[in-house]
Amino acid sequence: MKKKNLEKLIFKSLDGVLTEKESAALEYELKNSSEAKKLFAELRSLRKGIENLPELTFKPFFEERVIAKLNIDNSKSESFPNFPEALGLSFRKFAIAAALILALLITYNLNNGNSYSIENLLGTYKTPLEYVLDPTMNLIWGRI
Amino acid sequence: MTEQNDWELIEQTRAGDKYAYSELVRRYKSKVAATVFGMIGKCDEAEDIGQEVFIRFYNAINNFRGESAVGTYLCRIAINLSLNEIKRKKVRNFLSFDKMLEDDAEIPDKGNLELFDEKGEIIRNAIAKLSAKYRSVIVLRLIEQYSTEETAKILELPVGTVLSRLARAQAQLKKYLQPYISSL
Repeated sequence: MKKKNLEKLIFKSLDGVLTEKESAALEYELKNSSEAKKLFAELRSLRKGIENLPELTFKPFFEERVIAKLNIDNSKSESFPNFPEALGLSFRKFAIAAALILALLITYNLNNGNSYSIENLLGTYKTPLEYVLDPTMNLIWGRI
Repeated sequence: MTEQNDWELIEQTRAGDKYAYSELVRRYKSKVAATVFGMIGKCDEAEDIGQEVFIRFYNAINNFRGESAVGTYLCRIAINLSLNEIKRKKVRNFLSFDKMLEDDAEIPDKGNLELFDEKGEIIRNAIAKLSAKYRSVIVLRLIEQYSTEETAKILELPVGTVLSRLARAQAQLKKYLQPYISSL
């Protein structure tokens, strides 16, 4: 029997999944071939070596570290705001920034204009058609 | 005082008893350690992954229905996290041109055998040289000693695939460990 096929049979034998026919074939090989006996012993020895590997363990107080991590994770999720709160927090920053910009705009327009109208304060006065057609008119009147 | 069974500890954990969960961790940490160390070797990340296994189980404990045993469930998480770590290492090492765990796993020729204290280290280094898919069947079937069917269930593979991977893995290990087979 070829070595590859013999190896397959031996692996199946060690796994306990040989059919009757395969079992008989392996038995015949082991009875009549010293090479087969040697290979069987080697593969069984390899398997035993792996099965009997000394145990590796985590460092001491592993459970304590896991529980400590769970406690940290729990307290993080309690202090983290929920979605509406988070949205409010983010919106607050934009609201403050917008208020500052508005204050600056109003101050600037107050300094440059001579009216307290909303259009003047916000700089939304309507530009007459002649100023649009001839921008130099704005330079004369200081509107730009 | 009789020891509580796993399901009782799970119910207590669901009720908020962290001491009960600590007991579950104590019961299964060796099993998880065997899986993680088998898959990624003795390294700093192994402890982190071990902790992550139990943290994920804790976070999913309300959904755990007991279709599989606690040990099997934890093993499945450990295998998945270990495989993720192996993939992450591959990418990191590819980008930094560092050697892989498999490259670092040295199997001595008989000349420098005295550098290795135990044959266990030689075997572990040989296992570390296997690809992840072969390593997982060796770890579950031979080191953790799950049955072929249980191994197939954990890895979500057909039994036939587990058997063929096991055979190929053992054939490769035999090649790596040929000089030492008689003394294993």
